[in-house]
Amino acid sequence: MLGHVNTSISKKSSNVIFHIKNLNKDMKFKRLLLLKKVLMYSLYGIITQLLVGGMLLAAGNTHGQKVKSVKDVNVDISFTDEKLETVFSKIEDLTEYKFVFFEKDLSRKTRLSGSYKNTTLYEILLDISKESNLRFKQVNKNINVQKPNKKLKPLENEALVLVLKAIDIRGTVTDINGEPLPGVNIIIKGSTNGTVTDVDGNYKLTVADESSVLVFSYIGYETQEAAVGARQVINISMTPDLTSLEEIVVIGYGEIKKRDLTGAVVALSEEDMTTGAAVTSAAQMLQGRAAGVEVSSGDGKPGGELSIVIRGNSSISNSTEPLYVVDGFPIAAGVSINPADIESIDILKDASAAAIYGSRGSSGVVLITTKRGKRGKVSVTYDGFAGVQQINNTMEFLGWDEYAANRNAFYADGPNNGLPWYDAADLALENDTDWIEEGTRSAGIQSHTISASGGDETTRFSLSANSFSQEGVLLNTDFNRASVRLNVDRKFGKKANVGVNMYTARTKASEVWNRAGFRGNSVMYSLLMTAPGRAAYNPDGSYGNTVFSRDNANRPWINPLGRMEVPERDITGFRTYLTLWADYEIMEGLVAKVNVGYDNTTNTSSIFYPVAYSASGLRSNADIFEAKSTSSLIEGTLNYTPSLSEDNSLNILLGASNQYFDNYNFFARGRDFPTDQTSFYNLGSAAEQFIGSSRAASRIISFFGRANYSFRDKYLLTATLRADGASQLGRNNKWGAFPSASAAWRISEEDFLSSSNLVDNLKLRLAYGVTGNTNFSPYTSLARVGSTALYSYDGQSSGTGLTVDGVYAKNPDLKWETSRMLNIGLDFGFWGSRMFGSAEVYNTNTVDLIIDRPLPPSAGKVYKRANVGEMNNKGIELTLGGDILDGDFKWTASANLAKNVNTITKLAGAPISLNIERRPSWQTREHVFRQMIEGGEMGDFFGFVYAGIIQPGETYTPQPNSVAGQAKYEDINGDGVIDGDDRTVIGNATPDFIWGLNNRFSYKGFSLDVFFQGVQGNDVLNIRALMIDEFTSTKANDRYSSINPSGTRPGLSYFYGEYGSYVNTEFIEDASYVRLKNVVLTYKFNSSNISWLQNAEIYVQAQNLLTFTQYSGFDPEVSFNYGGSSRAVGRGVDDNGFPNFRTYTVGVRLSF
Amino acid sequence: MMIMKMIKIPLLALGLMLISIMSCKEQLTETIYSEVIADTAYETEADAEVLILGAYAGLKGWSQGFAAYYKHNYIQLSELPTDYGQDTWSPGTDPLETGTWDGNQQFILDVWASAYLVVDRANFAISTLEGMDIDANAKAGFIAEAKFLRALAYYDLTFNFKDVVLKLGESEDLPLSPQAEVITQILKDLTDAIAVLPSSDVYDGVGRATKGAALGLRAKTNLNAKNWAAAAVDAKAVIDLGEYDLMPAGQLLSLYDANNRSDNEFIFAVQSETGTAGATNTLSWFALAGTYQSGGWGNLTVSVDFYNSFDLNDERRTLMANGYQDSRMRTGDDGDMYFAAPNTPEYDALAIAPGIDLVDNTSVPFIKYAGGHDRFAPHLGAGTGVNYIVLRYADILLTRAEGLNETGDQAGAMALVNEVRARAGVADLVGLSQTALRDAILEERAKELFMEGSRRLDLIRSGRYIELWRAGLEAKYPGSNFNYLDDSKIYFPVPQIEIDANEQISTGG
Repeated sequence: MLGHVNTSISKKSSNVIFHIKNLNKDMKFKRLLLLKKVLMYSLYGIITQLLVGGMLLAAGNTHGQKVKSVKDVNVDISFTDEKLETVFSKIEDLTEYKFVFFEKDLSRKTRLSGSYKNTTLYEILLDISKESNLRFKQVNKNINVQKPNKKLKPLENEALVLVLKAIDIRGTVTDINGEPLPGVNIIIKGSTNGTVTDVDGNYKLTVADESSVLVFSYIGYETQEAAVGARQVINISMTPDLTSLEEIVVIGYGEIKKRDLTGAVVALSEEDMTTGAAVTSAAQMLQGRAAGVEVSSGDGKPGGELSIVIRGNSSISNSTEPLYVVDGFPIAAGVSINPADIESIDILKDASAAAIYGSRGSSGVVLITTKRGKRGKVSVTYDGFAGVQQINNTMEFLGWDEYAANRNAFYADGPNNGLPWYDAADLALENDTDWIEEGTRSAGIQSHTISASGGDETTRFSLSANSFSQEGVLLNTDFNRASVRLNVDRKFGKKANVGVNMYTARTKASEVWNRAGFRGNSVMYSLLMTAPGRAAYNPDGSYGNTVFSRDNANRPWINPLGRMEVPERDITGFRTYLTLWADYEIMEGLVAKVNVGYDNTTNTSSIFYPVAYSASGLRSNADIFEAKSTSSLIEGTLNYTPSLSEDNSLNILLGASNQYFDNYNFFARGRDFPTDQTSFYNLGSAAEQFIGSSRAASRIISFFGRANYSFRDKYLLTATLRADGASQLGRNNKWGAFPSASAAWRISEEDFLSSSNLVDNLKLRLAYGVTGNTNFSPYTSLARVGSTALYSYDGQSSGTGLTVDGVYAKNPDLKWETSRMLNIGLDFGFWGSRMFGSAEVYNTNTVDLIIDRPLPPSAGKVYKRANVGEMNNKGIELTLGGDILDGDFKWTASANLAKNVNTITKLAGAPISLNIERRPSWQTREHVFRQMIEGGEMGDFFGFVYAGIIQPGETYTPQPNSVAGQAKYEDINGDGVIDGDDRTVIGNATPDFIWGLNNRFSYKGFSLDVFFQGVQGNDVLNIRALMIDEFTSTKANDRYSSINPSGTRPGLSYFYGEYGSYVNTEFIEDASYVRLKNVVLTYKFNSSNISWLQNAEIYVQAQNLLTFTQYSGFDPEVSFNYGGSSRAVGRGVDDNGFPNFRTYTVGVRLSF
Repeated sequence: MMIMKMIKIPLLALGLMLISIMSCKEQLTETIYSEVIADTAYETEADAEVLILGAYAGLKGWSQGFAAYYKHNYIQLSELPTDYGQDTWSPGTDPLETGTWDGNQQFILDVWASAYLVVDRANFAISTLEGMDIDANAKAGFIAEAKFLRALAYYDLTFNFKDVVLKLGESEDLPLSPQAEVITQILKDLTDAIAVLPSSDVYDGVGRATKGAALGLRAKTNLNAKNWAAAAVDAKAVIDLGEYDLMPAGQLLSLYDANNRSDNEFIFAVQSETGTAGATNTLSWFALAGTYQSGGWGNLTVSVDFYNSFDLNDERRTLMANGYQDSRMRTGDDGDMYFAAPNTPEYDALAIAPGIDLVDNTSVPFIKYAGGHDRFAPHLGAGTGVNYIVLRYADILLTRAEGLNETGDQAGAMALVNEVRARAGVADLVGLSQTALRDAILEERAKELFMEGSRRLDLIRSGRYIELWRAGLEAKYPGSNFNYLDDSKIYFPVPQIEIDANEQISTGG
């Protein structure tokens, strides 16, 4: 038994995948947990105390007889005029004692002489003491040599210390919240002597002397040591052990010990996530950190939102972003939170875990827990960093000479009938502008967070304030956020707790016009496409206004730098969320809790384009768009943990909640202002004015329950049921039920494994659950009427009136999308959990997919939004972690890998096509890039197969009008003509697998984190390449033309050809990548000698330091919202995104 | 005490919350703000009128890319696949002219979809009106108008497509109903409407359904259903209303004048506002070209043979060959711009100035949609506001004539035909046999009603559709082979998109 205890408590933090939570997430649950602990451990503690403690005491006595007192040891020895060291050395040779001394304490002048026969060592030392003015103290076999304490009276015979003098130590052991911990083992270091705390966490122990060190250990907590020193009372607060199986996981409306988990849940603590510089959102903290959780940024815009897909896309029409729950409050949309406030993130991946969130759970649930105060003294922490971000530009551009020569040749060959594009005056221009260089910059980033937290017996608080500012790598872009968080809770009596969580933030950003999918006016394209022959700036510093001979005087060229810097774009947001909660222990084991939440967001986006820079180039334009959204929540839960027999434990949760969402938009636009000076502050002065507004509200009412049962800690069962009623559902289907059941078997607790040295944790999990997706707009199911031009029956009176919507038919049967997921998981830990991890296999069938079903025209409507599609996602996930090296130099590593396979199993009739919004030229016929068909995958690209170029003299029958140098495409259907029917699946944007690998090396105060992350086997449609390879990039040199007849890339009509389309295999690229995502070198100062400093760290960090990819664009990570409400549907198109960047930062963390 | 009070708060709140959740049903009913929901959108009599005007607007509204049929589409569908209709727009309407359409032909699909948009709005109006608490007479009147509109849409559907989906409520995916059932429903709706609808003076015009319009449409329905006697009776009922007459001879052009839209020769004509692009009649864009109609295409024309078949004194002949057609214009000796198609007397009469290159032409434009303007008037811009004629008095006279001839009253029939001929300035018919008169009426209908959306149904009814259509094509395009035209082309195919999306049709129900 002792051996087992020791094994458990010796697990040191090998971190990475799992972690332990504070036990204080939720007072109510903590108390329950405590009760359970008392039940479990008081018995354990008593047994330990009786058996182990008793045995140790006995052992101690036996031991005492073995070490003899100096009074009992007689020696024969003589020395003449010898140094103290020599005398000690002689005594050591004759006895089993060792002298322990500091050289400086021994006077060099002292010379001793003496001769003893069968004299006790005590008497000899007494004589030496008198001669040398030293004191001696025997501790076991050591004789400590000390200079005398001046404060003590020089009593002759007491100059020698009493042998084995005992000090009585007492104290209380608590957890970090100040709750007493019974059954804690306390052992005197270097011995097997010790004791165990009682039910109140108190202990008493006798130690040899001040130099003794106590070792406190307790299952689930980190082992602590305390030097006795001068103290007689030693109170200890135990910190939870990060890798222990006692790890607590947040599972929605409660917590559970990790070992009792039955579903697929990933729990990440602060140190398992990417933190520090340039982590501006919770999603960024997760990238690459959890198996099966795919995070993609796609756009390096400061403050830009990321997309999270958990276990593949399970919807075509609805958003597949997971549900975010912050401190128990399901957040309406988008999480604005200071990453430094996040204590932990738990991800409910499988349906059995997410079913507690019912109709909102099918894309997974991300539970965010913010930092709380700890009982004890107040600590103040400063956490700050500053750094610089740089664009990662791998593309090469042509200089003006080559650019102009190529372009002239292409035009002379083709549309311009032998005439060049640039005339001699144009060619004589000496500009050679690198527009990317001019339009981008090294951008600064900094963040400062000050937080204070602490508490006493009844009250805990945590207060933090953050200021974050980030410049964008494109000129005139930035993002700033100031936020304050306050978490307070207070105990009333022994049974009630009341708390409040509050977060408020203001964000302010400046942007340039750069939207994925809009090429013409987007600045990224302007920078990429502008001829290097134009000047960035005039000699006087104004924006360059080079004029080429062919420029249209009515539509003059607008310098992209001016377009970036002159128009004003101010995006200001305010967000506040507030949660008030109270709980009460009605009777032992039964706790009621009420939670009231409110979330309010206001975003105002103001844009002004002065005359010279408006899209039309003719009229100034100002827009103000304001969006307000609020969400309010009231929920109540009852949590019951009955006292059952030792073998059985049960926890039952019942709850109800009611959440309301309200979104209001207001829009105003002015066109044609008398002056540019008033910007967007005087819309009333515009010649043309437009306004608009809209409001939509929805509500979800839920009842839920969950039961966790465990038998002998070996067999675990969880059952969940949630019933959701959502207002946006059709009248006939307002309510849905979402059940789940899961079981786990802790094989390692079985007799045949419990004594194994190899396996110390092995758990098999099986889960099945049903979740839903109701992520669609209110009013979708209703018969709506819209404004239409009325019939002017007399040919004079016109007007508008309300007519039934001719596009969408009402659908009173509209309901949630339903996902049914089967999950099998295996958790394991080997060699004392030096190596641990888990493996998961899942299969999800999603039915009732909401699709705009094309109606037969006879219906009089075009679509019916109906539950008609079906989809399957299946995959595997592996997580592996280990302590590779332990000792002074530590190396821990963790890795995760996930593969998901998506199949569309049913659609409503016609395939669903997504289009590239803007075509490079109106002449290009086809612009579908994705077609979803039954049996296909959601990420499939659809297009033509490029087959090289037409060689001089070659006739390619399927393209009878082609000339040499033009692209040719494969005649897929073999009908002898290249047309739309020759398109096929030409790639897939979904990765084959995604992975992450973290290594942490530490040596003394240094630690080094090296985090790799990657995506394998995904394709990207590189529309950017199509744009820049025409003229600007060095690849334009490979195009076939009259001056380059050996060119291998298409020359004429590459971009605007009669045949084929720009959506072809030539622009489908493998975007697999391996990225050194994050490297952090931290030095932690030894602050143990500085009483006012708890912790001091300094770190340097680099993000996106290295990227290994064959992808030719700025960044292989692209994720744009093309043609669908769900960004995931349109993934994999690289079109004009804000370039990604590297970040280098220096940061400090100080705690007082 | 304080503490005891505070700890009861959670319990109290929990209890209150549970009680509040009890009223789930109400809470889950959506609260509407900026949207308008059909159930609550219409309350007053004024709302009811909006509802019915919205249904009328379906006649020329747009529905998700389906160009509405009473702006131009139905005319092209009814006039191009005939003996005289001719187009110059190869990819767009060639398949209509030559009968090479398939189930994906856009114009056919447009008419099908647009007609059902009207059916859907009429159905919606009827069911909404029935639930409204407004004046009973007003309500009955609006319902009667909706039934007229529904009958009109089904008239166009069943006589062009034969068996069609008969949708009278909100259901989707209905099977095809036999033509006889559809005709029964049309007659029922019209009979209901006739009992309620007012006379034409109520609306100060001809733009809304009246008793005369419903009677006239029932006459035409019976005519196409070959219920000859009933057709004659209904047509007589229209005549006996005394509300309608013929535009006097010599003023025929003014019948098509945008400023004469409520002339009492019209029984039902869809109205348009001049200049408002959204609501206008866009036939002029197709029928007139170049400088006459800014941006017009001039690809809806009649054949030269048809033009030449008119008596030189026939006033109706002046409605053709007068428009500017930029590629065919030339300056006459008087300095004015003239147009003339080759092989016409005007062409031959014009002196051709040296150096002017006349483009060879084989089709003749017409100016029924020019807004009443002749060749020298300035063009009208985007919207002519000209009537889209659904029913006019001349049609009713010829309808009764046809009914009488088929039931043996040749004299009565000829008298009616001669009323029409007299107005055009051509000689009376005399002493024709039933068979000869049948042919004469068919020809008279062509000359009187050409390009007004009647020809295809007239030809189908005559039983000589394929024969005459093929002959017309062979004359227009000598040397081409039109043997592929057979009885399968009498009716348009149900559009493929309907078959694909409608499980009741694609799987046979």
